Amino acid sequence: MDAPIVSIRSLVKTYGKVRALDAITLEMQPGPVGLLGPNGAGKTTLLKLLLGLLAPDSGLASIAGHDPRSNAGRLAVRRSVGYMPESDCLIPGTSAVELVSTLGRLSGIGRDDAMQRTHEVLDYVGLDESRYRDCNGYSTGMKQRLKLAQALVHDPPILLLDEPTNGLDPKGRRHMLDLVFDLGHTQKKSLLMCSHLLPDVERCCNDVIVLEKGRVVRQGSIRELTHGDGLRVEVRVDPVERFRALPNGTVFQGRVSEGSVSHDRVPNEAWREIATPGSSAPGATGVGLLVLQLESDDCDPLFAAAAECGARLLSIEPVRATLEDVFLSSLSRSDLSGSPNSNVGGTRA
Amino acid sequence: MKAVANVEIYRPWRGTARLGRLRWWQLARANIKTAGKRKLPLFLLLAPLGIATVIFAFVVYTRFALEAGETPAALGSAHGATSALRTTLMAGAAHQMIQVRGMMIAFNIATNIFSLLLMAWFGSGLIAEDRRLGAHLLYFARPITKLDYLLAKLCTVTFYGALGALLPGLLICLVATFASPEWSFLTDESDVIFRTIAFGCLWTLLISSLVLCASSLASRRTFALIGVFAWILMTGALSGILAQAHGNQDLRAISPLFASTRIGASLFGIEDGAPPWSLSWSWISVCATIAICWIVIAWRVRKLEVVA
Repeated sequence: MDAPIVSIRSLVKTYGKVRALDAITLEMQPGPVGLLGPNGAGKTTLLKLLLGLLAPDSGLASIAGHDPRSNAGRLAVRRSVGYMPESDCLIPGTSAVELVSTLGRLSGIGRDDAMQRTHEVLDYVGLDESRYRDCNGYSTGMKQRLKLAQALVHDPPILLLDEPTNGLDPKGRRHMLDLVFDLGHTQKKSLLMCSHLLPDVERCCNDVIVLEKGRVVRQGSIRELTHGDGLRVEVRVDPVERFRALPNGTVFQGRVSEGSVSHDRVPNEAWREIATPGSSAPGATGVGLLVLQLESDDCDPLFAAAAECGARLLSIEPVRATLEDVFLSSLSRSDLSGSPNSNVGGTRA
Repeated sequence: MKAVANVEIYRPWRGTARLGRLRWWQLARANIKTAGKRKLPLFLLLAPLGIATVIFAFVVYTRFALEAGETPAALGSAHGATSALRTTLMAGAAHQMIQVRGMMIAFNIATNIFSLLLMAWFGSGLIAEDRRLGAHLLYFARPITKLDYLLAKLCTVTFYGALGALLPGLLICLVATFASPEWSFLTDESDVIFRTIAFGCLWTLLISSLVLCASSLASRRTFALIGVFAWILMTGALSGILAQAHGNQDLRAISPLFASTRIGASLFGIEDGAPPWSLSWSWISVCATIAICWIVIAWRVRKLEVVA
């Protein structure tokens, strides 16, 4: 395993009485990582802390091995990190070429190199002749691409992208996601993509960190997380009512929405029903479809149960959870575990 | 219509980044260039200055030309004349020089109003707009320090201040230098050049500090602009009222504008017609204003970079 590019230990940041980050500890491996969380979860605060734009109340944070709390560390961090802010931070009166080349020069690139590099990154993000126009008249998509270009001008190995698809139309969003995907997968840049749009993160990132109320509630690879805690299977049963009447099958009582459900874990069960899509709603008879959560990948308890009740299992197919399922279940767990702190609003400072 | 797709590939940069000591200059240059794109206010503020400079340069040139035309003939015919006549002629020439010097002082003080307008107009948004738009996030995501940022902003506002406070005065000095017979302006009155530079620098530093302070405190450029003029007018009015109420003219020095006028008079060697308030209090007032402004600016800029 590579050395982590981001390492955080017991990091705390408060704004008055609001605890934006609540003693979070995490490590981020190289590669594209998504930082997920609802508004006000502390995503932007975390990015700013990593860049040294905010000072933590306590705890340690390092990025690329540098501690942004010291002046020297901050400068070192900023040399190796490209930051794409969420806010509409472009300076009226400047063109894309002027802005990117100036920021390139501030990063230490020579004058000629900065101009050449500016055109390369503007070509890459797809800003054509409009690069010479005042950026005040740019569309949201052009502004987002310009912000990405300025983050890339010094070719940093690490990118911090704060809501890169914010406000984009479908075409612009797709283009931006293509760029981010290319940077993360083809160019092998380590990127921390902060978003509350789950499909965007699922499309571009390998790993995900879920923040909720300033705490890390989930972290891991998307592949592992979407496989769930056990195995989710879709079972066709005939007749369904016999199977459902079994004492060891827990009929789900919660919300069911297109196969995506939130529920409490029920311990010591071989399987449980978590959804009854289509015609096999509780009370239905005949062939029915059940979504069951197994505690292991062993399906024998299902066969035993079917034999016991005289029902036939017509098919068993694994169901893969979406990132949305993971995200929602993480949030509901977090709610259930209780949180003493309150957290309101979005980006601060 | 044919669909166009972006087919550009990412090209890694092979160069080496070198962080020089003059990083702030890149930012200053960009800020000066951006501010200079507002051509109408630049024209409106610089045109009167330019016209005044041309007219005054012509006056100075004429005076010296007349002096140069008369003096050699008078001195030439004075070979056999008495030393009293020579003394009279030299005194007349000296009188001309004093008049030019007095005019230059008046010119310098008059141009300061324009430099105040220039600095207020072009400097009031430098920090306020960065904060409002979030542009400071772009700057401070780069390897620059707070000092770099401050130097860049100071350089930007002093550039426009120098256009009003220093450049016209120095141009007049240049004209006087070349127009004066036997380089007499340079040999006899060279101190005027240094005094012009010194007063211009002091004025520019004072007003740029005020402007940047207002800009760092305000949330918008307009508010900063209002703040600068409100401060100048209010301190002027307050100092006048206090001076009248207490019968103490030294209280006029509370206003940085009055204080700098007194310092200017002292710098240019005007003692008879100098404002009646104390020079030392004027220095204290100006220095205290600059110091307080920079404390505020440093505090606000610190909050821009690292929010504790």
